[in-house]
Amino acid sequence: METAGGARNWSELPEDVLLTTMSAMEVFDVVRASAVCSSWSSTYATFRRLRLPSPKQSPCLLYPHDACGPDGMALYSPSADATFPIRLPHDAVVLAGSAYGWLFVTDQAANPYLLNPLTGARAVLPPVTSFQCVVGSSLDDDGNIVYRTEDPSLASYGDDVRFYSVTARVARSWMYRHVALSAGGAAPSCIVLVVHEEPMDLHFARPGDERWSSLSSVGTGFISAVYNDKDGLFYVLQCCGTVHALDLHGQTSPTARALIRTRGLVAHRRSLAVTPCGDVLLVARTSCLLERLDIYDSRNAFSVYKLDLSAKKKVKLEGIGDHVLLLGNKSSAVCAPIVDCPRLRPNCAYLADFSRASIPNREREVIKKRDVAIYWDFESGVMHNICNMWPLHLPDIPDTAPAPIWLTPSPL
Amino acid sequence: MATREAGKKMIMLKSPDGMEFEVEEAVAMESQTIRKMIEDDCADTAILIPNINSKILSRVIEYCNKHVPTTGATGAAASDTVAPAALAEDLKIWDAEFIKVNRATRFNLIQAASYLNIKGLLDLTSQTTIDTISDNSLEEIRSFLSTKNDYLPEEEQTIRRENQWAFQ
Repeated sequence: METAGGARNWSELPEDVLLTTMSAMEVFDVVRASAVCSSWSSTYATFRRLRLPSPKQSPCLLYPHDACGPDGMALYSPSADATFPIRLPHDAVVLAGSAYGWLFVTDQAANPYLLNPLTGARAVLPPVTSFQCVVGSSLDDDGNIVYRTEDPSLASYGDDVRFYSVTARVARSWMYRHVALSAGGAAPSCIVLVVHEEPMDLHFARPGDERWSSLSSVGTGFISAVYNDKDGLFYVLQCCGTVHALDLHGQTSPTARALIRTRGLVAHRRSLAVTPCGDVLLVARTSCLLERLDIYDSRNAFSVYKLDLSAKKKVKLEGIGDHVLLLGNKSSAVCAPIVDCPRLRPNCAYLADFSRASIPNREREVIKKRDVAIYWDFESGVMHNICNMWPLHLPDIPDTAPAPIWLTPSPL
Repeated sequence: MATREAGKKMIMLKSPDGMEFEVEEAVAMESQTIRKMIEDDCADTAILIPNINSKILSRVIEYCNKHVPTTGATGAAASDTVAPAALAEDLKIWDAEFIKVNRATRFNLIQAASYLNIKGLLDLTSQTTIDTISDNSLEEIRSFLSTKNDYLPEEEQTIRRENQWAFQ
């Protein structure tokens, strides 16, 4: 029992103490604390303004969840074994990437923006019509937006091949293959790098820019991008195996360096990841998952290489030790120390993926089956299915629903 | 109260309600605030600790006594003979007992730890706040922490709508 006169009103807790306390909390608890009373709410505003990190948040899986309503999503935290319903705005139609707690989403018209699903904060990005490959837009007979696009590499095949029109619905999925962010959408240093599905070239912009800047001078055929906050460079991987480093922070024109050629790697899917100490990894999945998991009982299904940038070679690793990899073909690959991800297993790669993601062409829908709640164990070389352990509700989700994506929630 | 031992410099701490505590300098310097005062030579005779009553101050001193490194205040029992891991485990158990206090005392301890800048004590006391927030519903948090929900009904509605998941 409280002593008489000793019952203190905790909304009078000194702000600096509450700030210190908040930065030791999990993100979810920080946001909950902000709803307790108005003084805590204003402390939370200060917490965000000061950009204090909330260190303990582990990665979560954001996925469509019909129990959360027609547009409902669920955010599942494997480390807390807790599910939080999240409602995305109506104009968040496609989730094309995530990093630093922010989602790269597109609206109905395929225009992208950044969204923090936890706080609802947004960052405006240039419209889809400012990509170099989009030469115009019009309305079709039904009033739908149609984009006229150009692939200069097809010029020799004539104009009806070189130019083609796509509906906004198709543009939403193939315009954005992969996205990398240098920071959360509210940070002044935020740069967004987009890898297009077709023709697989690169654009970048900062929130608030009017146009996307093309990086066609660097090349084409890109399949993966990642930001390394240890050296401030974006790393991009071409399907031919070449890895480039891009410096997009400079005031002058961006610079690119071809770093290393990773030839001789036949893989169904390759992606780059950055370790907490700044090493760049190349993760390769050597065949498509298909529906039967047992075909994966082979040590070669996944392989991971460290890119030795000074020696310009790739070094095969036996595993990732006390780290965990979170892979998805939309979210930037995350390589996190296992201490930050309780209940996940070390030396394993967890997937949030499509199993039959053939490269989409102009009018074909690609999403068929989702590979979630499975992980690859580098030590044993076996794929494990943990659908029974994770309380995910993944019934028949329409193809139009967003794919699952890894997200490390952040209040910033 | 601490007794004077040969060769150890003692510091007098005074609470606003007139109590005096004589502690070893090393113990007092667990507080970064007091350490700064001592290092800046502002602590010749006695240090008045404002806002912290004798009941809380004595608990804080108890904490610092226990946590001062090496063979400090408690004499011979400490580090030479006991393995560091066992010592850390012992401290953890001691901390868990120490923090079994009512909410008002905890609140005052947080304030004291903050003012005196004693990181370990602040972490320890704040952890209980974190646990309360993480383990309870919003209504329970408000009741545990005796915070008033000072939102207007429509404000509360908005907050609930925007943070739906936080109210599960």
